[in-house]
Amino acid sequence: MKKLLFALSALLIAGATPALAAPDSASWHMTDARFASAHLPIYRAITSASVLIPGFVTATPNQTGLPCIDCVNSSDPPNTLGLSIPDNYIASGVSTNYFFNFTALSYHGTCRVTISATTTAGTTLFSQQVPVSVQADTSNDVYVTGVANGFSGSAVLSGKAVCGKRSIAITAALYFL
Amino acid sequence: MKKCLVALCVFASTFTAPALATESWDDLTMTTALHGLAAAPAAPGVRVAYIRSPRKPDAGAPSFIVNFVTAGWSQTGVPCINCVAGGATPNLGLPAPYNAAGAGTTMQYVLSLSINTASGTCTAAVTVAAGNKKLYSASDTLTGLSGGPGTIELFFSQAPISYTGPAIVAGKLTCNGMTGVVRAPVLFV
Repeated sequence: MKKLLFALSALLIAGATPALAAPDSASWHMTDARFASAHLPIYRAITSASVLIPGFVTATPNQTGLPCIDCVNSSDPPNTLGLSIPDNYIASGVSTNYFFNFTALSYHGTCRVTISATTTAGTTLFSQQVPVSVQADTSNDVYVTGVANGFSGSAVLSGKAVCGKRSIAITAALYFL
Repeated sequence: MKKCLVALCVFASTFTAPALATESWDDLTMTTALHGLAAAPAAPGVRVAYIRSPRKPDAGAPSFIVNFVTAGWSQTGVPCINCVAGGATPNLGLPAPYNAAGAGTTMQYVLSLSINTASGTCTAAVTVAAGNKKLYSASDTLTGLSGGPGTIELFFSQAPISYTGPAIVAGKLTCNGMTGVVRAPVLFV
């Protein structure tokens, strides 16, 4: 019978020092970068080589107290994620969080996480890189806040993590109104 | 002719996918997933949250965007709306989107959609595939969309399966002849 290993209480929230990448557009203003990580309840000991799995990348309105881990009421066990309501339409002037989630199994070490938005023509609207310290068997959330203006149209939002020699990435459609 | 709005989430995972002689595992899996999406049976028990947005509809923008699809294991109390302790509303509580789960776990797949001007009836679907195996497929018909901006969260549950290994979860929305598709990797351990 599978043994459920709960390591739920080790909520780690580390204020990461962002390594800002210069945006192509001066109209973007990045304000902050955050990293949160929570240990997973692994159902079976994983003995294989480390595995990195991208979760998703999305835009959400910037709201007090969000995003957060293990913060949902009435949830048992508390392996949860609290988010602002995702909305990949970005209205001009609205403070927005860009959120990227990935899972690390067995891997521990430093990862360089980059969240960026690029126009469909290839112009980088913003790109922010954050070094984070990842523990084994964790779900990891990185998010940045920013204020968009000066661009209207389609873009691609990207979340990428480079952990040692491994790299994972995931993208999503984005539209600036 | 149908327009195709493809928001295809690409990924580069560290999975060791089975090698196939004629078609890559990724390609075969995605082909299986697309077939699964196209023929997804209606699934009872889908929970839908339609949260209206204060932004104004924009006729020049795509009528909808498929935000993401993700996989977590089913947990008591989630997903839920306005249930996050200390979080400003509106907010969304999700099972942690690990995209990894123990085989034999009841799974929950979340499909997140942003609506701009889409109206009437739309169809959403989620499928999970691995190579030529379709592991899960379900769809839901969304009626009564008013053409106002908002976000829809769909939650699909899957009974435990015995499969172990890498897979792809894909989500799709079709509205008024337009289609958006996203995908993400999932690992069953």
